[in-house]
Amino acid sequence: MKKMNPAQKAALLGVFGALALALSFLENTLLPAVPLLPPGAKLGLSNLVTVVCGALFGPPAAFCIAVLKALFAFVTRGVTAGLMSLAGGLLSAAALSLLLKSIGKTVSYLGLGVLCAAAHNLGQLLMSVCLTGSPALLSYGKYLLLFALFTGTLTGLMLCVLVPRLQKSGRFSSIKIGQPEEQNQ
Amino acid sequence: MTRKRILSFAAVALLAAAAVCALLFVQKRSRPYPMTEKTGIAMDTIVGCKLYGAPAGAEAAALNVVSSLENAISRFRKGSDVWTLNETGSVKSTLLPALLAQCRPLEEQSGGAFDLTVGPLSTLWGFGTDDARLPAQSEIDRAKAAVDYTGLAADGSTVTVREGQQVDLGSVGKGLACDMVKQYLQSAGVKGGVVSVGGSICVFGKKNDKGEPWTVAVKHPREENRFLGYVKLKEGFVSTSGDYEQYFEQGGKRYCHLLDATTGYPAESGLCSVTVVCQNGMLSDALSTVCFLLGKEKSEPILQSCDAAAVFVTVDGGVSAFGDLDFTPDES
Amino acid sequence: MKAERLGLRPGDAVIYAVLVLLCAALFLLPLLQKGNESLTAVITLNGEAVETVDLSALREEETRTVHGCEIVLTNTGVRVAAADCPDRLCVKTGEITRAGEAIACVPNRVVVTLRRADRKEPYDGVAW
Repeated sequence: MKKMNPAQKAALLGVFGALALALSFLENTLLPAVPLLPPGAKLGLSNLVTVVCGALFGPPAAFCIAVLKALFAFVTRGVTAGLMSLAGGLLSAAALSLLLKSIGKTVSYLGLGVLCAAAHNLGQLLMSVCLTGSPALLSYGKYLLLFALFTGTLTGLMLCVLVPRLQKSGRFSSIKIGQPEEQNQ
Repeated sequence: MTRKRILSFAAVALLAAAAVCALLFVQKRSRPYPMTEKTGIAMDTIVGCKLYGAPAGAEAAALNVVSSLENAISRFRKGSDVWTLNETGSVKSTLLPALLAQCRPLEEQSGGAFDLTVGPLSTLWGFGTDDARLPAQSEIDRAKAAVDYTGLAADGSTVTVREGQQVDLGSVGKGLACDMVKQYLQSAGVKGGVVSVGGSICVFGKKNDKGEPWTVAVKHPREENRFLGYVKLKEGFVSTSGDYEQYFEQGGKRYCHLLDATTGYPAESGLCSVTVVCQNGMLSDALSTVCFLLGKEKSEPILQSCDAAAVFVTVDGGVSAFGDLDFTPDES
Repeated sequence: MKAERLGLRPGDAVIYAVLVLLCAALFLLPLLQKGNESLTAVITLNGEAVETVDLSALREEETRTVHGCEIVLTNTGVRVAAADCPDRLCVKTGEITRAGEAIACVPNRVVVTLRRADRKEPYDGVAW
């Protein structure tokens, strides 16, 4: 089974990017203002793609997807939306890069999913406080955390199921659980 | 991981997501529309409104409606319709004829206890000023002689009274103000609101997508630290008349501002508070006075004919309701 | 789905434990703090708010004189102690202690209303 070449990787990344945008669009049309969450905060469904990319291709890919989503949000919904998305995405990608090395040893993809979701929501919370200048918004924290537990579990379970199968496909042959593929562009 | 397991897991995840979405959708519908409020003074009392989904400035405009009405119906405002009527015996008015027509059945059904020409008696007793006092019987008889609702008549837009008569709209003014504010706010496109004019309440519309009933607390006639109870209604008017609003005590007896025009004295129906709920503001205000004057038994047919409901509180603390209303006593 | 087949690790339990406990703590915190209503008194003159006082922050009685009305604020309520108006109805109203209630000195155009600090009164208006 051949390893994936850079072109194929880029293409796949592109597909994931499109998926992230689609999910982001869906999130915003179905639930533009989620009750119990600060205005502008999103559930974190599209964060799933960020985490998956990070797990498959490594932290740089996660950061790229996060930035891509933020740009899309900025272009379609404005500065505030762009900043909120960026904050959530970057923090989630950061959490991923910290934890990725421990996958398989101390932590599994489930824990990664949950922590990245929590980080994503935390990023959005902090950004909303910065933008409005109102620390009162911090009281939303408990709901954000609750939502993160749910969406993160979904993300994590999905990864737990997906990654071993992808590993078996041999296309991502250098992924052992815990080691993202080497980027040799 | 078998295919079946993955599918069942995916099914569960999808159901969970659907459940969350459904829950959130339901939650969103109960978020209130943006709320604006304003409190002020007009008609010699506190006026306030809490509006939901209102255009800018609606709350200030609402208060202005009350001030304008005061200029038309206050008997103390020089140049108002009522002042002119009382001074000259006649006035051309767009407002008064309809008002008179609506109140006449109540005046008749109450046997004259409720009477819009009660002005001379109101002035004599002096409630609302620092000179409230117990007048002598001769003074009461003299004032009572001029009180007679049959002397108040409307012919087209011209309203007349007999010589010496004085119209006092104090018992219907606040409710009427509520009617006019509601009309204004609805035409201004306000989604929902609560209006309070001197304690007469109007609720209309909805405060969120769900449109649940409004809750109006009723002041307890004797206790400061709790309410009498709560009235729930989707739309309507709530007015209370009580012996605790304006009164003085003399010789161990309480004299309150709700005067029975037939006796010339404050009502002695054994009640200390009546709260009327009805679909017309002016009526709810008038009826609360009528019921207080007549007592529960005699009020029931009148309430029925006006499609109104009421909560009666007797001086010894007994609470009873009449008619179709959702009233929950405060148990605390 | 056994934990081993998913590849779960002890660290996952740690992450979950921490987050769930944190979440529970955040939810329970406000319940522990307040036992009674925390009221705010709003004093308006001619319809414009001139002063807002958080009653729950008061440790002793405080007085404010606004346009001829001497308003006394305590931890539990507000009353008008004295006024230079002719009818003194505002003084006769006595003390108000519940959100939604109000005292007005009409000649002086002063109104004092009480509202709950977190604005969640169980009613929309008060009929009086």
